Amino acid sequence: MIVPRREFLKMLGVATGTLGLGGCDRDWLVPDRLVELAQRGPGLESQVPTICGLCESGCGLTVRLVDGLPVGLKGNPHHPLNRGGLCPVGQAGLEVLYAPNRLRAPQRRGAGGELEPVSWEDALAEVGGLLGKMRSEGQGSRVALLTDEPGRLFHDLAARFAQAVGSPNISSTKSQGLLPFTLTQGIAQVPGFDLDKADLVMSFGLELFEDGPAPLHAISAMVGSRQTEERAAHIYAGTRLSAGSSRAEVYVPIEPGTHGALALGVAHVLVREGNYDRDFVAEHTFGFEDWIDDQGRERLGFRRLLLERYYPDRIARICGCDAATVVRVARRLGEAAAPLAVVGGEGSQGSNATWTGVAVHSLNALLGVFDRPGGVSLPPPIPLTPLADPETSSLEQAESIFAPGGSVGAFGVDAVEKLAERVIDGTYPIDLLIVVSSNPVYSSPAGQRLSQAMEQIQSVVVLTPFLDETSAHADLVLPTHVFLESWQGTTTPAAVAFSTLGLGKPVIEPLFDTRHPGDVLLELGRAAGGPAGAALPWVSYPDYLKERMEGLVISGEGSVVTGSFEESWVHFLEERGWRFLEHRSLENFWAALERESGWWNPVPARGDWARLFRTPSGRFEFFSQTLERHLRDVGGMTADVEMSEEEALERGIAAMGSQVDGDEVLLPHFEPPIASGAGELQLLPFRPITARGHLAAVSPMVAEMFGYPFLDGWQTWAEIGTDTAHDLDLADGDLVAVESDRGSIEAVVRVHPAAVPRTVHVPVGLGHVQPGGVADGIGSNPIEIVEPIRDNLSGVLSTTSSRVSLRLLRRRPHGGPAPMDGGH
Amino acid sequence: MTRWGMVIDLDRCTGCGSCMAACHQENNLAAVGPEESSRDRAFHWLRVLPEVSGSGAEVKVRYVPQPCVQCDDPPCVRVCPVHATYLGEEGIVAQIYSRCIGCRYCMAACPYNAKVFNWYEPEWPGDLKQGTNPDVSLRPKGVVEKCTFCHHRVVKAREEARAAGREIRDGDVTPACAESCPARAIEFGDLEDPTSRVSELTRSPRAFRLHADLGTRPKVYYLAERD
Amino acid sequence: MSSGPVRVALLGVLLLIVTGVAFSLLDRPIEQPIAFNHRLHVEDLGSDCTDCHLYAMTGVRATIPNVEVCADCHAEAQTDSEEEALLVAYIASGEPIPWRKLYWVPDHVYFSHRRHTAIGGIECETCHGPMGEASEPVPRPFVKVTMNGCMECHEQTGTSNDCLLCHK
Repeated sequence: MIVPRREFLKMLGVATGTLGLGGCDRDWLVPDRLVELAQRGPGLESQVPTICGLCESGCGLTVRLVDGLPVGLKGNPHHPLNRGGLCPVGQAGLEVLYAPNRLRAPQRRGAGGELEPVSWEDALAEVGGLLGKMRSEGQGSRVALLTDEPGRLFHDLAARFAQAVGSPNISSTKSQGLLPFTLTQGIAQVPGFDLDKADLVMSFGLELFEDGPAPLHAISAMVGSRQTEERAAHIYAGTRLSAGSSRAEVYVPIEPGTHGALALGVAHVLVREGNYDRDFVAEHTFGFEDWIDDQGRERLGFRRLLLERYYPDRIARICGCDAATVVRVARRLGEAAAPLAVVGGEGSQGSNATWTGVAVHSLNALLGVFDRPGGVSLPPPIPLTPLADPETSSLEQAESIFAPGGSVGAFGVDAVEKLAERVIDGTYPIDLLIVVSSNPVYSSPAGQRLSQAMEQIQSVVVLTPFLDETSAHADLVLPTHVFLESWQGTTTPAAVAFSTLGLGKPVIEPLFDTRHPGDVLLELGRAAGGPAGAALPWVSYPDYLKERMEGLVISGEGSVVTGSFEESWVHFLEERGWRFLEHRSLENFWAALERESGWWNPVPARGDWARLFRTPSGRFEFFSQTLERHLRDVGGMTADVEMSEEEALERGIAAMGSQVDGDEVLLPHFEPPIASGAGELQLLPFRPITARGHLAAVSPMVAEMFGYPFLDGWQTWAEIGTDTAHDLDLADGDLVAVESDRGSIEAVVRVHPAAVPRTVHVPVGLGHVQPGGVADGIGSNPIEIVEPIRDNLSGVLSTTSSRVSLRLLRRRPHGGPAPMDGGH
Repeated sequence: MTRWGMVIDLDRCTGCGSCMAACHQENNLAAVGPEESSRDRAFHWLRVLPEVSGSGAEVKVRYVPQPCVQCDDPPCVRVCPVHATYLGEEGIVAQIYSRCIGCRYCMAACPYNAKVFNWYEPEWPGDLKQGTNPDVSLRPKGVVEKCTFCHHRVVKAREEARAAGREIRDGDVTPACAESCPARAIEFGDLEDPTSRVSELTRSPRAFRLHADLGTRPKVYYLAERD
Repeated sequence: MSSGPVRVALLGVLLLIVTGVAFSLLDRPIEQPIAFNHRLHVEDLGSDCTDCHLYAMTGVRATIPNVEVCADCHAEAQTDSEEEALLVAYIASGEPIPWRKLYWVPDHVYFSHRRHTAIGGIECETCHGPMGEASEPVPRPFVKVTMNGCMECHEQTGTSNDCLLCHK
């Protein structure tokens, strides 16, 4: 949809006007004092470090203040994650702070269904009272909490909150993609990938420089902090060439969902040519060679599986690439000094995502990159003060609504789907749902179901700085600070090799009557009273943060980030027993953290194999005993009869629904992806860098550069390859309907010469329908039309398993060359 | 005399768009909205331009961040009837908004498409104006605008250097695009100083300039990708 | 029906009247909320400009002092002056004094006091005239701030007159 300019301005005006529920009736919303200062102050400048709170990365920021008012943001050069760089979304931080339609006061849905202002006191008393009542009546399990507020510190507090009110139901709405690492390494975290020292990174579907937990870290580690000659190279395998991936040394276009097959083909070549780390494989892996189990049965080894089944010709047929490319890539990887294989993006969104992850991670084992510079390790633990167990002994712990039971074979669940289904089918009643810093109705494939479920829940409380699709179903909307107004404690994003802890301090007093989600939870705990209040003793969120950070002072590990300590130097001194943290008191340390905004520990614990591989064998398991046991348990539960282990395993495998058989099921293998629907193209939604943190919805700048690689803004595009465009008789700029069996969205065709045939790529980020931002009603949300096919192992809903067709709605309105014609 | 120049290393650039966003925030570029954007009227002083070469399986796409290339012989200057755009003493092609009459001859003359025109009064919904950079003016309706190499930063850096009783040094001035670049692909400095980082880079065999054949002598150099 | 030349003449007269009114509006004397006596503070009491215009040497703007600054000396009345009583009332109420600016540059000009004073060594009087001698608010600036004025001084001192230097 193209909105005429006048309409656009009117829209902004309307939004500004109608949301002025806090009693503002003028254009300026910030206090007069600040406006006066900006216009008449002396113009003195200062720079204050803080942490960007717009996405899960938590990059270091430096805020430029003129007379104490923030007027500019840049990356903090001392922060070990981004090292001075700042992504387009981070740059828009001030537009979030000063956004025209921020929520300014709590709102409650009145009898007529409209939101009406309510005081914080009344709002908190209402929810707190409900919590206290539920808890004392033993109904705590009827409370559920969905939170995507990043970082372990907030999560711990939220978990403590849930525990205190007697609820086992807390989850993030996002999948962390942990399962491949659980199966192979026995760990419940994504390990760290040392991008700083890798010299070749092969990415399966992860657009390293745009997507993933910390794209700016990837750029600074692989390029920014190195001399041009020492820059890390990368190889990209996927179905679409993003701006960042176009810098790849090799682009391997493959059929959707076949990333795992390509990884196995590469593994085949490495093994066949003896180009793998024999010592590592012999000492630290399990199931590489054929082996005899304790029952005396001969079991299939990974080597034989690879050599017999995953030869390049077959891989070429599966992936739609040529066999020579598979060989070439494998040789390049085998020859690299510090290679790495990573998975993400479309590679971890398929119905076979877990197996893709296992296959890719197996390459790291073959290459023997564990526990070495440029390789895979576990980031050093952050020695936060542990939380003492609260007095919850009187509460019996009910089973969580997010427990995997019920859906066959899966290790986990899709939290949003599970919550929605169980509320709707009445098997797990929820009376109070609290959603923190998350918009699952928009972002989850089960979003529509969740909105139905929310209608059945007695009380839905949403904590957000902006109205959105989820708060549209809320009974109570509690406005939260934006990051520049609040204390933040962040912890290392996933997949980073070192540990960081960010302490962001407010750089401006809150503009409106908002609060930090942490403070809201603490106040709710107090309002609930009794043991709930006692379990949340902190006066304020920063008070809580401070207590947790005392552990860092006591441990003496790591260092406050200042940029003057090179990692190797830190390492050198630590090996000799030095400790950097000379902060004798917590006050001292806190002051230093406030000044520098972060702590980090770059020193991995080397040689601790037991920590790295927590599998039954204590090794990297090609043959996953964890999975074998799990499937046996699942199989055993399918019938009430005694059965042999073998039979239980077979039943378990059947329940999981694998398309291979025998021992191959338990080894890294290719599980063909499921594609649902009648269309001729496969739909692959993706997250461009401009969609991080849902910023395109509230920042005019981000919306305006939303599709900058196509010189586009304010619209959702459907990216197709040149051949596909030709076959469908579509041209760049045509408006089309993208139609799946579930629905239809509009998008503008963008022809990209490198998109794989019969695929269409649609970015998430626009298509918001609620009046929370500047881009409401603009563009489309592809998640609305995806078929929610499940990854049977992780339980997570795939977003890349739908077939769609494109129907021409309107030819391109006016002339000029298409962006990719090179005419600009 | 200083001659400011820029070197953009395409081998390092990852096309992340940070430079473009940093430019927006630093230079108070207001959003124009969906309709005007679709007419190519968005204020992007620096654009990340896609460039396609080859075809079929051998196709290559690269992204070229392109600010005003600050020609030493700028075609835009020759056509300006009111001396609103001119070549500044230090090589920056200036656009003086209070002189500009909005005839847009310069836009037509620019072979790099580097200039944009204020068709309407810029809009700053809500408090967005509060976050604007006080060192850069908010342009009115009816004037042409363009990249200034963040000239206000040059002015400020010189003020700091003079306050410290020294001359301006290599590295004192970093435009917003270069500062935000996580890949450190953009270098800025004095082309006249043979020891500066930019001078050194312009002597690289990978160095080239856009439309060098036109004789505009841009002061933005690019370094081609290594093979 | 009036002929062409007459119409043109009428229009011309109208234009003259309009511009005349406009200019007289622009040139209206500036009135201040309190009749501040510069001479008393500077000549008689020996204050420096920067005692009240705190940032004249360090800031972009010199700043016009408001209640917080005045309160240092005038939290309680020092004299029986009526004007001081007004000031004390402002201080007591915490309301800012709505001073009117006498000297200003347009939005498209970047002017830094620090650059001209601390770094350039220019005296306040050069641009502001003998403000310190004024015993009551002056209705018009002593020195009219014009681009020509700026450029002349730049020329005399050998400072660049590149437009970019001052125009943002």
